[in-house]
Amino acid sequence: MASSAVDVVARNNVTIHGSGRPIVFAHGFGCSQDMWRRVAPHFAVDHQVVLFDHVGAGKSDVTAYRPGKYDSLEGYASDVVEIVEQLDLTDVVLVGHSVGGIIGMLAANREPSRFAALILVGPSPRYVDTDDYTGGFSQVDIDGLLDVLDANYFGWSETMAPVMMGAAEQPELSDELNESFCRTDPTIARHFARVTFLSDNRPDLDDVTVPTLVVQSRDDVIAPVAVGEYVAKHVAGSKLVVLPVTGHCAHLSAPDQVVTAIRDFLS
Amino acid sequence: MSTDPSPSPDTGYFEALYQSAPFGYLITDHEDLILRVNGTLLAWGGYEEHQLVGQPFRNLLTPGSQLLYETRHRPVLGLQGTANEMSLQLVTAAGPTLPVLINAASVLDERGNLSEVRIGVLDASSRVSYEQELRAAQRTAESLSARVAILQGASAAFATSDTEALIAQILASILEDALVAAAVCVALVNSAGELEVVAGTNPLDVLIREESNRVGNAVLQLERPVVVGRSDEDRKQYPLVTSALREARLHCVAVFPIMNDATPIGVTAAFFGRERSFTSSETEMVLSVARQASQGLTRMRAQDQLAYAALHDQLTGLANRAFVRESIALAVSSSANTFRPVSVMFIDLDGFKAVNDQLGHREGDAVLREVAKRLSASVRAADFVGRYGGDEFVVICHDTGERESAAIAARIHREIRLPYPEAEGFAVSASIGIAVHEASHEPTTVDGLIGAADAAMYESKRLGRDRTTQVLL
Repeated sequence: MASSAVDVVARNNVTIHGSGRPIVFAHGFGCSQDMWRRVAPHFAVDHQVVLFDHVGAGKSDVTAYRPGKYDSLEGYASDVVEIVEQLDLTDVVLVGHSVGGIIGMLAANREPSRFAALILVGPSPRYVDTDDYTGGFSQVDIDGLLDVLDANYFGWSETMAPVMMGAAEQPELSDELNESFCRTDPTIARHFARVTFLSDNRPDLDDVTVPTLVVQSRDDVIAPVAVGEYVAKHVAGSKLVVLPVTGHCAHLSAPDQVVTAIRDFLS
Repeated sequence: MSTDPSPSPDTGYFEALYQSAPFGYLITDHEDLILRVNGTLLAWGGYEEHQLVGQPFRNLLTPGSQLLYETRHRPVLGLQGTANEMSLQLVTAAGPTLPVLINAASVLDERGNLSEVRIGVLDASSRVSYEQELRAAQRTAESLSARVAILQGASAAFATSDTEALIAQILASILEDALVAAAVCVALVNSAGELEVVAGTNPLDVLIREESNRVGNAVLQLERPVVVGRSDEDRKQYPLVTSALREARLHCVAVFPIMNDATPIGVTAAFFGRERSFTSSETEMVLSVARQASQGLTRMRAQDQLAYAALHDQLTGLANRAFVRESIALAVSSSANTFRPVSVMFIDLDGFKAVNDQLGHREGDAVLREVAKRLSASVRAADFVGRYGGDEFVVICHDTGERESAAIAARIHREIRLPYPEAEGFAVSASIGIAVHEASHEPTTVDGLIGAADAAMYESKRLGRDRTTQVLL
């Protein structure tokens, strides 16, 4: 047990601060646990703050990446369950941003006995529009995202082929291509983008049994208010808070408001 | 151009530098709303200043670029204070998109809060479109070479595999990698005409096998892939499969036929944790790998059939003389190893020659087939029945001494004596000789056992037929 606990901690670069009720923060697509640096410290005074990186992000172990496993959000959710189990956490508050919220929700659906509250910041259960649902994007838009992703990661590199073929085996290359914040492995990011923006987790909203708060930005092109309302409507007994902020990352642009919303909900 | 090194240029000079700089320049507030934008950017986009001021900068981006800008660039800028060389696509008033490179730097107020963001925009259309073409070409080449590698790897792996299970296992693991599937299983049509999982993992409950096979049979019939997912129609048509998928935290299963030329010989099912659709080239790749596997599988079946034919009698389906002798050799050595007795029974039909001579070979053959059936039904499951030639049969009974072999022989006599519908009015019976070899006795040989059983059979004939004679060896 002890050795596998070490593995999970290293795999997801789990970091722990403070003590008290456990609060686990799950980051979204495009960044790493760095995303929480303006919110998480506020909770370390009276909580056990658990931060981690999804495999492929931050300082996670990219060698743990298995395409088949991470071809769905369930693969990421099973990692969250493993973290919570290895640390033997109960009464867990899970705060997830964007797709991190959906991943946290799937984890809570698997192990509801360990989770006591879900806080979803800017969640979207499905990005691509259907006949009777508006996610805000089309398949063409997602293809466009993959194109700009490529342009950002590979645009200046003269060695595109080796990077694309095996960045996971050449960490020095991916290091060089990444900023010091929000490090992500390019190959995995590409796959994570497809998994994030092409998944449909609407049916999973019905399965949530944990008390849930949806924190919604007033103006967010990625997860518009209508989507936040949809989530709140389909998660039984959930609460919706619309913050007067713009952009998809309220926890960066308006951390105090996010902290207050979470504390109000938990108290 | 100017040679006048003006020591203190007026604000008009800086205004001109700003407005007509060889790059776009704009300033946004902490919420990404545009405060100022220079003439160059307005000209590139075909916008009027009043159209942009007060709008979020992200609204100038294509949806795909908005996704990356909001999920990655803004966080990096927020955390790091700068975000450089971001490649994005601007939307122009006229419609076409403009690829740009963007550098952004945030400016904090005295309390450390973000007050504004300064953004420099470079026209990157020639470079980006060149890179895009390069990437597109690279992708095509990569996916082609990946496909060739998959097919070559598959063909090499299939060629060196010597069992049906191994070929199916290789097919499953190749497709799991190629399709990035959560799991893949392979089911082949067995001799009873039913689909049977032979390799890989089937994450669905075995209790719903009947409905799973219904999906598989639909694929066999259609001879093209079928995807079962979460749609209402799928739920109606395959309620057990769709709920089992949900139970297993899967979103869909794609089932592809394994075709041997024009004949479907099985299916392969790939399971996914999210909705997946397949391009025609992906589907073609799967079908080609499956086709390659089918060649290996049918080769294996042909070999199995040849091996079977070499050891079995065509008329009755029983083991033939060669197989009987091989089995007696095995029985002798196993008797020596386990110190248990073995009995070999030699059976010759009485009255069969008359059937053949008077009714013809067709009826004679029918009687032989019926005898083979009755013999197999009279012995125990572990006993071995073979046709030694003509109307001679052999039964090998492992771990069997005098008393038990005599009891088995008695059952055989009863069965063989019963009338034959194909040869009404003809009496057929069996003369049996049994050689019982006790492990404590002198070692014996195949010929020794067969010879002794044959001689005992002749003794039964001599004593009046339709009886058993035993000898101990």
